[in-house]
Amino acid sequence: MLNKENDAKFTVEDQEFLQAIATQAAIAIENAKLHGQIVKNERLAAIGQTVSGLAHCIKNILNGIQGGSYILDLGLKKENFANVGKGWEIVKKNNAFMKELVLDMLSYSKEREPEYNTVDPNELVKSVYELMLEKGKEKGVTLLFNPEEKLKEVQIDSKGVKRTVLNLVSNAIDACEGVDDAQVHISVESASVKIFRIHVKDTGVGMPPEIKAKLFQVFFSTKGSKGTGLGLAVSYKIIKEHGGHISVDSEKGKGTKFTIVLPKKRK
Amino acid sequence: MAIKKILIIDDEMDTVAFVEAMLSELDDFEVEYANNGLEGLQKAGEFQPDLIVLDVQMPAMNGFQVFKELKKKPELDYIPVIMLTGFATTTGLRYDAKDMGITLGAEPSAYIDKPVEPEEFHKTVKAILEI
Repeated sequence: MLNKENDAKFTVEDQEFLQAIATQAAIAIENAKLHGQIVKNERLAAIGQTVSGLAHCIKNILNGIQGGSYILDLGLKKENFANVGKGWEIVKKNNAFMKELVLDMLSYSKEREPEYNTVDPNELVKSVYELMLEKGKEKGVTLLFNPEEKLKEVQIDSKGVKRTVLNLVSNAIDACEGVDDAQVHISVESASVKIFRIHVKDTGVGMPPEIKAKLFQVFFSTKGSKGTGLGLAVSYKIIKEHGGHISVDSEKGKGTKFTIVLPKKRK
Repeated sequence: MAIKKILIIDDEMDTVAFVEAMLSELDDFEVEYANNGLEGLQKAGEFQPDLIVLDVQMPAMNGFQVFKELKKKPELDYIPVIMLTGFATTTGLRYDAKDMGITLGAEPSAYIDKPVEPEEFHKTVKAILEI
């Protein structure tokens, strides 16, 4: 049709054919515009949800700082130095929460390459175990640790992975609150030539499928006002950046097991 | 005049301490607290407070769910409740019970947004308890 020769005119059939092509092109352009709008709306909704979750988190921390300074002021007014100390501790604690929240937000927002170093994964996990022993003791939870003797060194972002394990162990202890004879079992496993795993298993309250499905979502927390809702999202991101992943197995009333899977060598 | 009784239901001990401190500046009250919804409902039955200060966001059972249960019990449904919430914005928009998929039926006596302003808290408590 486009190669008419000898001044041949366009026929009615040509016109109809061109019309059909133009109609299809118009529909395709319209669909592309609509799809773009849908994607934009979804993105805006996600941003709105994130900002709302963030505002809520910050409000709770501000409430802690407000409360701590109120108690501190009262203590100074009445020369009650026990209250001065109590108020100041509350302010310091919430200041630390704010710092943690900002760090988590930055970690979550940036695409980053892990800062690899060569470490003994057993020593890394053992340091988390030792750090968490006190918290476990306070909550009546027994912590156990099983190293993988065969595994001496791996290449990982040790700060990021340590932060992830710390987060999982802390959550596991929280999940055991109120449970008799509760245990959190942390172990390292050499799964293959290329892969190793870190398991964090608790005998706590477990979770139903609907909670499990939202676990790694930003600002989702089951901890009431204590949780920022960023910890697991950041942990998931750190491990993904290594080319690894985190899986979770849980049953309500029976406990939960998180498994971090990581390559032994940098990707 | 009999000393008024106040029950604080909040999982966060810093908030409990804050509310207790604000109450201590207002009047002599008998104050009890509970750190979760179930414990709160039990204590409400035993303590029979004149006012309940109830946090919205708590694990396992949130404040709206606790409020609903209080309203179901004839021996407790008359007790005024102040809801503490971090969900509201300065524009007055509130992520409320409906957003959590809960129909309350009755309304709490007041909502106070976090961070709590002591002046607003004092004013609200005085109005509810008529002191």
